[in-house]
Amino acid sequence: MTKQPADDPSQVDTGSKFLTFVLEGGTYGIPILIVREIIAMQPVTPLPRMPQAIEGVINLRGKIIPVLDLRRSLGLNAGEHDRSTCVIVLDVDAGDESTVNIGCVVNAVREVSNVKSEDIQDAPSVGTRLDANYILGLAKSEDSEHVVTLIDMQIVLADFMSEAGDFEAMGAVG
Amino acid sequence: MSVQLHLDALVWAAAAESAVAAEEASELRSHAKGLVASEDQAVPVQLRLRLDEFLAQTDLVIAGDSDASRTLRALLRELVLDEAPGQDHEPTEEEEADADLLALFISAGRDTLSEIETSVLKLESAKDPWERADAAADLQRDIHTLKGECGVLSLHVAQSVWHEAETMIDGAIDSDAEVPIDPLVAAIDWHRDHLALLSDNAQSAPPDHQDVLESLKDWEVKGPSKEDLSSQPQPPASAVQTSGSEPIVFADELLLDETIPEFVTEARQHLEDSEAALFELEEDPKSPDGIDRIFRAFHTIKGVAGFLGITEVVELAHVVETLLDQFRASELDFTSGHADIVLESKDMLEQLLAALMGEAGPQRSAHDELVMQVGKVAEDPSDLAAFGSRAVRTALAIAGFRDDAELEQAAREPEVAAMRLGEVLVARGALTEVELNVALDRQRELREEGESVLIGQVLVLLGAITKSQLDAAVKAQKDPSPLRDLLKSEVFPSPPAEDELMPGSKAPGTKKKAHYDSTIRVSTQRLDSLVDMVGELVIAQQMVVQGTEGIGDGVGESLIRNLSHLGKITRDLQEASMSLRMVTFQSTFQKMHRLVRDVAGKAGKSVKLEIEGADTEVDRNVVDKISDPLVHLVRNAIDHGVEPPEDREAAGKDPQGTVVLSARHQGGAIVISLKDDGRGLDRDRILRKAKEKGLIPSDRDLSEMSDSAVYKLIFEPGFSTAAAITDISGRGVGMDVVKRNIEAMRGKVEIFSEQGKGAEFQIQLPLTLAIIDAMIVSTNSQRYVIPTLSIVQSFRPNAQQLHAIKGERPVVEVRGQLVPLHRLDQILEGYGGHTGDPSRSTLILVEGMGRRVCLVVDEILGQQQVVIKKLGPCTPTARVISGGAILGDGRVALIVDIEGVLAESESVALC
Repeated sequence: MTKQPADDPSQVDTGSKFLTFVLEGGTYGIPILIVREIIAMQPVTPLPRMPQAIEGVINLRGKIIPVLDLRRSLGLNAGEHDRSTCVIVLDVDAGDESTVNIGCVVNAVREVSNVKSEDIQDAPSVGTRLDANYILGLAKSEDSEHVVTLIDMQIVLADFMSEAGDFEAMGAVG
Repeated sequence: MSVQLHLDALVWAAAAESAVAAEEASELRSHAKGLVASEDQAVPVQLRLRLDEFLAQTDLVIAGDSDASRTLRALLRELVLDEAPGQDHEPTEEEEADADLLALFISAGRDTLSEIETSVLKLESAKDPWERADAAADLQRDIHTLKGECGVLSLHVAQSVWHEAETMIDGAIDSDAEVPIDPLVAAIDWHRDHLALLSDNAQSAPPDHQDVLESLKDWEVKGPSKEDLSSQPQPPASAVQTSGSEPIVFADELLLDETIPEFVTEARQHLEDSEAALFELEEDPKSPDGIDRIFRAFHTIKGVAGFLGITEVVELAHVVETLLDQFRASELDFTSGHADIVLESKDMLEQLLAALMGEAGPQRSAHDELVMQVGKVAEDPSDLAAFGSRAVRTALAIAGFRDDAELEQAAREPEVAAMRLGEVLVARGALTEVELNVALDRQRELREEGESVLIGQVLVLLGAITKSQLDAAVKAQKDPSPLRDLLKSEVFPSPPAEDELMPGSKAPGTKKKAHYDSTIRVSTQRLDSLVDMVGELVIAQQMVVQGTEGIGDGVGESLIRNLSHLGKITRDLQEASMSLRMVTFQSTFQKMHRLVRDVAGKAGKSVKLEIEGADTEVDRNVVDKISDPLVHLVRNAIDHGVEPPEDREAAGKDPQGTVVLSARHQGGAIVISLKDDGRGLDRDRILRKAKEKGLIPSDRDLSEMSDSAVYKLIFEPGFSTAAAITDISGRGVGMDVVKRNIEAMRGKVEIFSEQGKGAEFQIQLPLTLAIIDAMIVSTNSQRYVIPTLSIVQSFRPNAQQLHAIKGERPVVEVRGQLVPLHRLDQILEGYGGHTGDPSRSTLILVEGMGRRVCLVVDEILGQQQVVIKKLGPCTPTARVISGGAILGDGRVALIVDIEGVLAESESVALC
């Protein structure tokens, strides 16, 4: 499934902001609007009987939230955690006007960059390291020379949730 | 007409006891048709399906078939029962407002009571007369306020008690005698109980007040002030009757009808609804919803009153309904004048309702006149002149201005009439001129706002005089009794139920119930978040304490002291916040009375329900969730436990069965027990059934199964089938629901049974759903939380205790019992297998649903309370983990779901 960026209402605005981050050397981006906060990596309590992509749960100021290893869920090699490893906490719409927080472990967070919708190109069918379904498009950000792979978190999380056996609670993301 | 209206009418019709008459049937028919015609989603499908049957029956009744009449009534009940749950979910805003009012009253009432108590004690200890007079005045004022509040909230029993107390004090003071203390203290205690009941359950009836009342009255009789006017609080109304105006008195049969109290309660609620709607309407005259609500209230009252044959109520409600209909149909504005009419009608209806409860009724002439006047306005709502200052005129008319000329004059100068009474009061020194003028001004204001008040009432309201002073003044005014009578009925809209006027009506009066639902009106969400935050605080505090422990000697003494102080405050805060959510079982248990009656009736058995410990407090969430399982258990106890009367007699038991529902605290848990004296559970039949159903292997040696393990088979989902109900003497229906619900609350059920003697179901629940006592264990470098409730014991095994069956399945011998052994981390991950060397580990024996398993862990880290957190969207599908808890170091530990682990261990053992 290749998404036409222009079809997606959240991408129509010129100059949408994306948070870019590093996963195993590649630069990726997600819409800034779904990001709640970025926290330092902290000890994760593993959950038994869960897919590998689910790293476990952490304590986010008294709230227990699941943590997803984005590298694993995107099919990348999971490396060791280092000092720049951090967790991006996402606000995920749970449907009934409440939001669920989900953390994503990334190697490092880079920046918030403006991406014009006309700069977003369809993902090439070959040559990417990721499952093409997860890719919203490729973009060259205004203020950076990196090519950013925009990730469709909706699909990533949907897969993640269905793996976790609880997909219903999830609504649209981003 | 709206769907709701039709439904209301049907509900009311079903509430009436008698068979259906032809004209009723036709009315019912039209309601039912209305329901069928409306495509409104509010009508439950079930109801819809059965309405056709219902319509056919109404046709028969209309055709004159008398047998069909009863069938129709029965059908109607069923219909309404089906429909009723839907209704329950529609608490209106007004009801909530009422509940707010009651909640306010209860807290204010407690304060007032304490003040009264202080005054009483002061009175008792007062030495010189001056001090005593002071205390007595305080006391009178406080009691009067309380009485007024009771009246506003229709707590008539309390009102009557305080009225009596007031009378007694007045009598004592007037005769310069000492005010007796004991009856007052008794009254205070009684009222405290009353308030406590109300705050637990707004539906609760007041406690028995006869003793209190008697003691208050006794003193009056014995007291030296017998000749005083105020010692005869309620002179028989007949003595003050004047020609053409007699109070409305209802026939005894009507008053004794058991549906009357229910009707009165409901009708009062409707009237309150309508009043709230009226005030809304005054704000926004165009609000169609407001008119509808008032209309509905009066319509429903009319409907039921019609069934009950209370013509006075029907007449009045009918004209008001007609009037309101004018506004529904047209563009006419609903003015405050119209509101006055409706309010006046509402007041009259309330008096009629009071009369139904055995209290003094309104004057018939006043009633008839009101009906006529409202009827007139209803014909042409724009012509308010017909009504106008009617309110004032009626009051004055009753106040003794009998002929029209005098009335005219009085209508022009309402102050004149009031002045007479005021003057008397001033003359008697109860009032200063200034106070009188203030009161007169206030009265004028009220009158301009369209309200009719008598000066005496105003004075009492303003607190300028006491009721006894007013009584005395009225007497002194030497006005023929009507004015005093009126004042009495105005100041005390609902005289005590003990009125000698109608001795036969005492019972319904005392049965009067308040109809509010709850006293705490804080959204549970906010409360929960408070409790959560306090939980966090507790953890944070522990983290700080743990942090300082590592520092060692460098820690200052003052820091340690402060920290321990902080710890104490934190614990207190936690306790306080937990108690906010505590409620009693009162309402939940009360509901069971009805259930027992219904189920026993259906099963043809006679069963009485005894309730113990209903005031046991528990977290609100627990109460909410226990209701369903209890219903199933109670139903089962009656259906299957208690034998039919003839069997019981044959067995030498009381033909009436007894079911005891009790709640108590035990350790850190709540134990709810349901005990019946029926036939008990039949072990052999349960086993046979379980084998039939394949719940236990048919070749299993059954003799070693403990009784409790056998009984617990009835909780298995497969066990509760239709066949089981008829074949098995024991239980079966809905038992898996019971088990599931209770497990969901992390509780457990135990069954005790003795053949032929009865069975007891014990539900053990945690006090709160948010915090549990737990043991923190570590295994494979992970920490887990095990609820203490499930732990039987923990120990280090010695070599003699450990065995391995068939080489593979290790077991451990605990007190002569062989228990399977599993490593915690492995069972969580879902594979069994080897257990390492358990002799060097710690074993935790856990129990649930009659099974026991030993969990092997590396180490027990400690025991503490943890706040349970949901894991959110990532809860593992296998039920081995029930949630997470944040430990002192801020990290998350998973809470082990023992039931899930036990189920898991079973499946591991089978493969």
